[in-house]
Amino acid sequence: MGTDWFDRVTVAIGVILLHIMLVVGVVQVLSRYVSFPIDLYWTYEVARTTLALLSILAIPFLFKNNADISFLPVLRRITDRTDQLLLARNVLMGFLAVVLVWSAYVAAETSGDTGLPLISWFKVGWGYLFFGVSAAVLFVAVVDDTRRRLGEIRGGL
Amino acid sequence: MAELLLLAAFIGILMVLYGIGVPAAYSLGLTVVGIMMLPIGPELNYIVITQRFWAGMNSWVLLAVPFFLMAGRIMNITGITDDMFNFATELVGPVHGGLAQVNVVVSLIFSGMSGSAVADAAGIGSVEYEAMTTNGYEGDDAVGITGASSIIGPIIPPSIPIVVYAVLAQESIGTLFIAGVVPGLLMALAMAGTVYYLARSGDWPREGSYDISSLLESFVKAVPGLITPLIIVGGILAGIFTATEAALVAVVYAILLGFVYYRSITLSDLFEVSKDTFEDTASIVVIFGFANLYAYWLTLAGIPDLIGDAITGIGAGPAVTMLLLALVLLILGTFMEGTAVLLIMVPMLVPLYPELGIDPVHFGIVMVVTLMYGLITPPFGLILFVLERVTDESLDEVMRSMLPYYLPLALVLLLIILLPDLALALPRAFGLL
Repeated sequence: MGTDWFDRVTVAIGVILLHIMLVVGVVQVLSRYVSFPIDLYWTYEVARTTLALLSILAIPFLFKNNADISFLPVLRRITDRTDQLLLARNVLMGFLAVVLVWSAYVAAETSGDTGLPLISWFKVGWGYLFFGVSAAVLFVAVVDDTRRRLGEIRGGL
Repeated sequence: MAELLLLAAFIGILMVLYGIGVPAAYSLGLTVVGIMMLPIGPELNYIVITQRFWAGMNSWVLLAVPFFLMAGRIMNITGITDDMFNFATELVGPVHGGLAQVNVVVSLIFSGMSGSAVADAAGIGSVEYEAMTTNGYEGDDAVGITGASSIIGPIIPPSIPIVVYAVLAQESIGTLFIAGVVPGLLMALAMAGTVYYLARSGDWPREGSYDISSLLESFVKAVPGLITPLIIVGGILAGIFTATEAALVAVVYAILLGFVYYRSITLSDLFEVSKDTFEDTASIVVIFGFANLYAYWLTLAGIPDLIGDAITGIGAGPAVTMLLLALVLLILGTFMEGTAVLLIMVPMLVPLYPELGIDPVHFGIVMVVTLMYGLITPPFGLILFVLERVTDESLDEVMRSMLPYYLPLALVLLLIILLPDLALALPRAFGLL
């Protein structure tokens, strides 16, 4: 997780998903005024599922780049024990990531063959599994961040 | 008693987690997981975590978030900002404290594009600060109005916090957008009035003199930017498109302006904008996922009923109740990002609206205005930190410089609470209520 190839790939896929949402959404609006040769009832579902997938994809990326909405910018200003607090944060985040992986696995198992309402070939369980994979990558990112912080704290002593 | 303990756990655990730097989204998730493991909490069910998370993000209305963010970012790099700044300078520059008034006017116009107070403060705010300090203004005078005026953005449509509220409260985004217009204009007026008073007493400089031809010329150049909010609001009011579709139209319009009209952006700029939009969108939408889980467990634990009983037990009318809630929101808003507060509070409060006699559209505007005040209120208002970073002022100076604006803004908030028609008259006039 130390190299930036992970970030580049995530951003590239994220940007593609964003533009898929944009194109599908624009087609949806246009279809009200222009007649298209195909049925476009599925566009709502595609756009919102893409938004969910885009957000799940970003979970480890946001953590790795401190881009989540958090108290961190203020915390850094008000205490010089931020690193210690962030180690505690990482322990909790690691625990949550494990719970999320388990939850996603159980949810995917339970959902069976259920498809999305308007695009039935896309199984709901796939979305759940993707969430599980993202949570697993988050766990790796948390471990990596913890190792780095510990190294910095030891190095600073 | 068990419910009271649960309420304390829901709020206490969340605050501690957020306070030690756990991101808002995971603070919500961890709070739920923690409570699920307590003997007092509802029974543990792992499947629900993923199901609720997925359902919370899977929303067509929520698509307005990335597209308004994207439209605002594209507008920012097209050159529209400079044109708007020039127009505002020609319009109000020659009065006392002209550039400070320009600051208010630009924030007002820019708010029709960005929908984010922090984006306003960090983006055009730094431009405004620079222009003022290089034209004879004291740094603290410049930073004060820059920060105060930046919070108009999320009140005037389009507005990301209003989209967030609308999705959570299941209200029409269009109606809430229109409801925000008058309160937003009132805030701008309050700030312009304060600037006028400060400029007279502090002898702030004027900028040039009135020249009708320059004013007209700058107006014509600024027209593409000025009509953006009209396209969005007009389209929604005319029933041509929904708020989500308006956001899509805004992106297409911004792309056309950048590539065809101004010819000022490249594909690589568009990639950078898309990259930032992806990051910002995901950071907001992920919170929606966990907030949906949090709201589900709150309801399961009977927390909204408990809060409802406590509030109705006070026996206060809707206005006093709203004042009390606004106070709580203001305190929360100084510690937490506005979106996060909305995601935590709205699911708790929405079921209580009928019992408390609160109009969801009116209170939505009160909530958003209050949370925006939280952004400029010490000790943890986010905009204070943003301004410290993008200007030459220290955090102490930034905080002090905001002081003159608190009272007028508080008066506006009081007016909005006490006179619901300030928010509701316009939607009613357009048949939206």
